[in-house]
Amino acid sequence: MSTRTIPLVGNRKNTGETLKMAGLYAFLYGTAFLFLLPYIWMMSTSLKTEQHVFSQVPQWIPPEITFEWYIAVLTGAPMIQWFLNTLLIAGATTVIVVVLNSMIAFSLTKLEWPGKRIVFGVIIASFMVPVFANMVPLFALISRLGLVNNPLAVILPFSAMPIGVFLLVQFFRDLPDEIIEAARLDGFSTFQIYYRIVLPLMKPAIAALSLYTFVYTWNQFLWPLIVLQQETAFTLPVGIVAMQPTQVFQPGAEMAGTLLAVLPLFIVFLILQEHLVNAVQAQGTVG
Amino acid sequence: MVRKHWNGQGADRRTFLKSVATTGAVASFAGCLGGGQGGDGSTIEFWTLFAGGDGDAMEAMVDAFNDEHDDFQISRERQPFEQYYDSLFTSMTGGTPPDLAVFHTNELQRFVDTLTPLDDRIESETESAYVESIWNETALDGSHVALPLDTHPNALYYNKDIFEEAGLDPDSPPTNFEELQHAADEITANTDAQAFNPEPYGQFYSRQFAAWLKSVGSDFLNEDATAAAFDNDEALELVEFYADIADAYGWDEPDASNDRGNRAFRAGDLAMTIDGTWFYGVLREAEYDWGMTKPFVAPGATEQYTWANSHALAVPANNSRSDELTEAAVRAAEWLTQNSAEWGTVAGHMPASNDVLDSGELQNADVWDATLSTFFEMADNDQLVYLPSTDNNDDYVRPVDQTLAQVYSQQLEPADALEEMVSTVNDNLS
Repeated sequence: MSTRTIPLVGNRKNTGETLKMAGLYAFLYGTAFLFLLPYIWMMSTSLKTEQHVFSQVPQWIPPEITFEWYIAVLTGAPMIQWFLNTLLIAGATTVIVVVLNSMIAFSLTKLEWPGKRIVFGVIIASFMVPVFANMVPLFALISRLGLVNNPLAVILPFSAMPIGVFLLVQFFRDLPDEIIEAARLDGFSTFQIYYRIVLPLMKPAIAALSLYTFVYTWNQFLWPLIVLQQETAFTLPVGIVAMQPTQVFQPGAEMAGTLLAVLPLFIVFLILQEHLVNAVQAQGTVG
Repeated sequence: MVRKHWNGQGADRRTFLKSVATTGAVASFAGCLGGGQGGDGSTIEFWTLFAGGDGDAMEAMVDAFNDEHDDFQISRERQPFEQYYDSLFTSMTGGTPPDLAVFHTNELQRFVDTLTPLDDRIESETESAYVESIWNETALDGSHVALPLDTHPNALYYNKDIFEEAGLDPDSPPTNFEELQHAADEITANTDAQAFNPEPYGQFYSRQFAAWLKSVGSDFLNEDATAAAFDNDEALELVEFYADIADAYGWDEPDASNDRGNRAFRAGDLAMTIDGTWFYGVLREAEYDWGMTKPFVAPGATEQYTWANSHALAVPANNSRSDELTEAAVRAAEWLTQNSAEWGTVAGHMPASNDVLDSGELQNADVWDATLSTFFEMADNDQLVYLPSTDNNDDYVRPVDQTLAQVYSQQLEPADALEEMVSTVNDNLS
């Protein structure tokens, strides 16, 4: 940085702008903080003793800190097993979705074949069918395949989500055809073009889709609840709900469990956030 | 900002291969984790909806069963409480039902066609092993489809510290409406606490309403459960009572949000509430002195009733299950329902087994003096009211729960509310 001297008393214009910036930052940080509030409350509640959890006057900082809820959650239930199940399901679904959807989107945007408009139309139309309408036939199918309680019962249906194709098609369309033509002239096969040209160039879009799929699958409740019926097969969201005491409200334990369940998502977001910002930027500035 | 992703120099083959390899590894890992179904023929898959103290008690009982038995073992599968019956319904229609499952007795009707009839599989003297009134709740059309585990009625719980602060005798809680009125008025006048909340969860109003209806001489549904039977002045007076608690009497806030009364009572800010047997497990941890008594405090009550429900164990029918395993599931149900001391001492419920009730283990436990003896007395005097069993209890439970919540929070006039409840229940049941 240059060592520019800053005048002690700026001229009127500079002061005005500084104030404007300060106001803007105060507003932005304030808004961001509002979104953080529920998480802070969650953390605070998970550390409170039973007595303070139910206090009528809300206390942000627990007067007495306890880890009993975390211990109760970690010892009272197979949390590690649930964590591994959820990670496996969310991870595998994400990988399958990204591989399949990027191939489909590539062939829909960059390859010529008869009927591709119709196929794309069918994919888009499948948005119109509500998930709930599929559940009973899908359960019958999964049950007949003998996949109840198997992670594949969640992975397979979630891998067939049309939204990923739709998202990637929008991105792939913006990729100049000249790049593909140039690669073809250089002797690249179609598959080489796909994985050596398109995939690396579309990293931000793929990161966005990965994050979306991972978070979406991680948080799923209803379908895993239906097909995963053994305690050892549960995912975290189902397990945490199964642990809630019958009719008795136990906020400390619930908050501790929920915090443990969202932590991995937070880490995944931190890893992918740069790509995510790029993706939003690319989508926002192109087209 | 540098758009560095446009500078991509072609994919790294190793990265791609690595990700493919990972997919393979993940897929094979899936095979290890997927537990398969049904097990090896000697495992009884047992679905429960218990967690917290209830879960601990059931775990102890299942462990004891497994220690005592070599040929068959129970695998206890906890399911989420709120979604339990939906999951069960799906598993039964999908052809993968558990071998043994917990049912509330008033839910049995809905599942009766898909349960294994027990009449030929149990001895005739089995009947005498259980408290008669609870045993009768597990029979449908004269046939037995389940064995009763417990009964869990409602009681009136109160905070003795607040009673003392208000100048009341902490050892004589209200036993009728006039005494409730006196105690609640004193508490409202002399302390900062709220006095009385009849439904601390804000969502199960129909339970105590049904019991109080019977106390004032009205039924909930007609005999064949096809219409509401509470279109009368006695019911209107009860609905008005729900409105008055937060309004005319000023005993509580006009707020029916979930768990509000529960929170307030546990924080020591509410003097009296109505809750079930399971509340014992919660109050054991309380930092104040508390007591419980019979909830016979409805205005205009001429008889004394409280709401109750029972857990029962039943064997869902499954054509692909061996007869041997079905038989084992029935024996397991017998064993669990008759070796249920922990169900009382840990979970606070009243076991349905006569032997357990008579045993020293239960009667010498703290829970007996604190709550169970009172529950036992009410059961013994036939003062329990079960909600009627229909093909889908939500048909009449939900309209009543939702409407009374609106009355409690002053959003609906009692007369309009009663009319609305009656017409919705009639529409749903007809």
